[in-house]
Amino acid sequence: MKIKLFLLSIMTIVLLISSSFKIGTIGYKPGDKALDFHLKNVDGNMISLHDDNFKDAKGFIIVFTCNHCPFSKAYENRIITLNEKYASVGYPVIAINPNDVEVSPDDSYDLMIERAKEKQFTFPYLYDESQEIAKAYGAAHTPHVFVIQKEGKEMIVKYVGAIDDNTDNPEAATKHYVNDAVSALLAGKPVSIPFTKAIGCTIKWKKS
Amino acid sequence: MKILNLILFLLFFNSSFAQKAPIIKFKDLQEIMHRKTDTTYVINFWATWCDPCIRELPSFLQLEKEMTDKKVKFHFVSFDFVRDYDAQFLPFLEKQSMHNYVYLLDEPDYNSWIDKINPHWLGSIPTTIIISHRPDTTYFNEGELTYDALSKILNPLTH
Repeated sequence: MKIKLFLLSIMTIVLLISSSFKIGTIGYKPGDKALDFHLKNVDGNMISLHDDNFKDAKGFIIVFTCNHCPFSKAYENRIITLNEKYASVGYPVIAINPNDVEVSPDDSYDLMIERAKEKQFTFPYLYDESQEIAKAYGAAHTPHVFVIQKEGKEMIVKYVGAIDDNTDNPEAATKHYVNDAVSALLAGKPVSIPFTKAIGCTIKWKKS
Repeated sequence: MKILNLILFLLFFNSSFAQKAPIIKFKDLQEIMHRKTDTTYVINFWATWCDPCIRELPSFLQLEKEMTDKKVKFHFVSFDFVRDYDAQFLPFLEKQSMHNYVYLLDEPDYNSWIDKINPHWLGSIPTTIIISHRPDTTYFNEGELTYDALSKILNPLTH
């Protein structure tokens, strides 16, 4: 009986460890330090969070997105609106396409340039060709948002997840997660919903 | 009279389509998932726009065909947008000859229900859940499944 109990507790511990491991691999959680990057924009320039252009930024709305995914497309206008609303008050949008061009030819750098022109993006649209930034952040889907705040020299993750609770119909959305998070940060308040699951297309990882 | 015929025709036409691939809510999905019978249920979450889902679909349809005499039922629950129902969803089903147990899940607030299915689910599709009550097992797989992998899971549950 004792042995059985002992085995059971060992099994429970193993199970707990393995499940926390799984969660650990998902990526940044609110409170984590975010990595800066150096990625190519659609205009050919390299962009990083410590650029002079961003010296007045209080933080960033980083959106992993892409050209082809219907969920990304459904959110494009809302991403443009986020930048219109928050860039001037210190939270510019930075969009990043992490998809591998071999697996998803529609997400090539050339087609990113085309898409940015077509939709008249007012924010950088960067190409994470090595996929290292998407991996470091733990982006799983497109679109997947990370709201970060500058604290001294550090970039601290304040919100991870979806843009709102209705991909199909913006008018029917009742929870505007990113809006609420940035508004709270601007008001110096804690973010009330700091984590949601971002549903969308899986990031197209390189085939090793 | 002509108008009445037309109305009747439209009513019949719509309802027959609705039966083929109904738009369902989360509570309907829960009903499907929690049927306590001796049948094994394969519940596949997919969408017409999801490439890996479309890649694995033939294996599922093939196994469904091969297992018609077994106590196993396949359910295909789509994440397609409701607005694409007529123009994209139904034509796809027609093309693939998918006539049974196909649904469009109209629950855009994913965060309100996805953890209730499995807290480890990141929300990717394809995702497949296999529920069997004899013995009581639930199998959860986020990502693509091959024919071999799926039949390996199903064979012991349906013999």
